[in-house]
Amino acid sequence: MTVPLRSLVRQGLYLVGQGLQGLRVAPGQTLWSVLLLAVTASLVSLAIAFGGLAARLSEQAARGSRVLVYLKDPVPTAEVQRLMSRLQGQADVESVTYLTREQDRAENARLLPPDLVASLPPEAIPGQHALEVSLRFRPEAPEGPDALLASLRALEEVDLVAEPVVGGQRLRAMAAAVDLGRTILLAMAVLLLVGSLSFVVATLTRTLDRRRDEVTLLRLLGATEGFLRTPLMVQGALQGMVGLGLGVLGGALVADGLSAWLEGRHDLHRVLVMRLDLALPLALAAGLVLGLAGALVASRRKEA
Amino acid sequence: MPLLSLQGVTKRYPGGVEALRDVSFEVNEGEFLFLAGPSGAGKTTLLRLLVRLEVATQGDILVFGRHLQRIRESSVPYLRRNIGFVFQDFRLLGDRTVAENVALGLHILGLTRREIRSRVEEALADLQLEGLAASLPAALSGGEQQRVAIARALVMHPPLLLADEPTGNLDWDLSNETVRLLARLNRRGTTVIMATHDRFLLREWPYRTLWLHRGALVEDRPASPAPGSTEAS
Ligand SMILES: Nc1ncnc2c1ncn2[C@@H]1O[C@H](COP(=O)(O)OP(=O)(O)OP(=O)(O)O)[C@@H](O)[C@H]1O
Ligand SMILES: [Mg+2]
Repeated sequence: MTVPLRSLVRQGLYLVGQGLQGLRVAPGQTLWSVLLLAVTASLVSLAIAFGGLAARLSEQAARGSRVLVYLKDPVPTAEVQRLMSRLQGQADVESVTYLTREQDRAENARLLPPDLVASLPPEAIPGQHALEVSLRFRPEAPEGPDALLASLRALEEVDLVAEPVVGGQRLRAMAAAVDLGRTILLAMAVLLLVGSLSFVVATLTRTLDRRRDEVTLLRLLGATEGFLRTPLMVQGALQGMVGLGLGVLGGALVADGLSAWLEGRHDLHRVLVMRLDLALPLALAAGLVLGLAGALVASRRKEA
Repeated sequence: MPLLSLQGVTKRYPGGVEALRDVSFEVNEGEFLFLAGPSGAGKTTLLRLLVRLEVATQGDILVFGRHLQRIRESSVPYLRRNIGFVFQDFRLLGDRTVAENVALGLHILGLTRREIRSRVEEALADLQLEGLAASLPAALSGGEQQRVAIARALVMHPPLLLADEPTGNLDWDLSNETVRLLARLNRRGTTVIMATHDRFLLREWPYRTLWLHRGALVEDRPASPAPGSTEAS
């Protein structure tokens, strides 16, 4: 009972066609299911993109909680020691390290654009001895270490106090907000997923109802179970893949817009990054699995 | 070897109804056989057993030499491709044209569009339905609908054709015409088993007749005149 490859291919195409026709059985419901799936996917992809943002903000916050206290050039070691132990005692201070001129220069060389560093003679890169002060995050003192920084600036030995552009405090607050937003997005996505799944199952059930007489006849005419089930699976898979695929594309668009807006308001860059090269195949695969599961649920329900 | 053989077949439905009781008979290739008996005698049950829409509670059924009791579930579709089935109520798909209805089973076989078209045309011509290929079933008379149903079974070129009261919804002339059609197919080599309780038809067409009564085979009457047949019951 060998079935030639060609006739198998022909049958496959025929069954895909039947699956496509199934999409037209309940066009309104089909559209809704695809739309809901798309919204779900865009929420999930946004939540994931925001996850990257929250992580980056926290990281920046951690970096932002370090200030460099540049010292005037002739400050004797004893003075430096005294200043360090005084800072050590402050509630806002986690730790203090002394950076020599060379260490500071090395750090600058690391931060400056590499092509610039390569073209400069080493002495042209600025280097100044400094105290690197790690600040402690204290939720009970929301005003932050501003008072401490002001008092440092007033000291005679201090040349200048360098802070990162965005304060760690503010970044932490943003990270918390982003995290909350993410949780809300994910919760909505879960609700929508349940809703859209039930829509997918409903459309497939309608198709099964519509095809019931045909399936009975086909079974008697000698159709295999695979032949009978494939159109339904094709239909489910198409709904899932189109829905989730469109959703991820939509999510990427929204992420781009939001990202541009946030970058304009805050001094941040690459706020929301969506890796479409990963997200799209993932969404299509998830859509496939989801659609097949829907087809399975629908046909199980019909058999019961 | 007979095309079909039943040995002590009993069918009990889940409710407890014994639709067939210890039924045994054989059918040879090329025979035309009536399955007669009053309503509830078990005619439909017997035909359903032969295509394995039902499974016998007891006994052995062999079709084309295959044991239906022991056949693998995955082989059943291939068995069915060799058996045509015609219903009393035609069971045409109302949203498909006559040609599409007839072509239904051919897609299962993985034939090309050309092959499908030529087989459908051949079957429609055979049953004098050429002009109706593009019509919907609702536009057809009862006799035409039954011919479409027969064409749908015939395009599969089955060696065995089962018809369950195919004339039940037709008037006398059309009933007679339907049996004439089945007889013509039979002369071309198809083995035909037709269930009926129409005694006028049975008198008009003196083929071999199995009489069922309350699930039991009460009479196996050979064709008369039965060329070459023996006295065996
Ligand atoms: N699916 C079923 N479940 C339970 N009992 C059934 C089922 N199908 C048939 N029966 C019973 O089995 C017996 C035989 O029924 P069957 O349909 O085979 O008779 P029949 O000879 O075809 O009758 P008819 O001439 O009315 O079509 C009847 O008593 C019927 O009620
Ligand atoms: Mg019956």
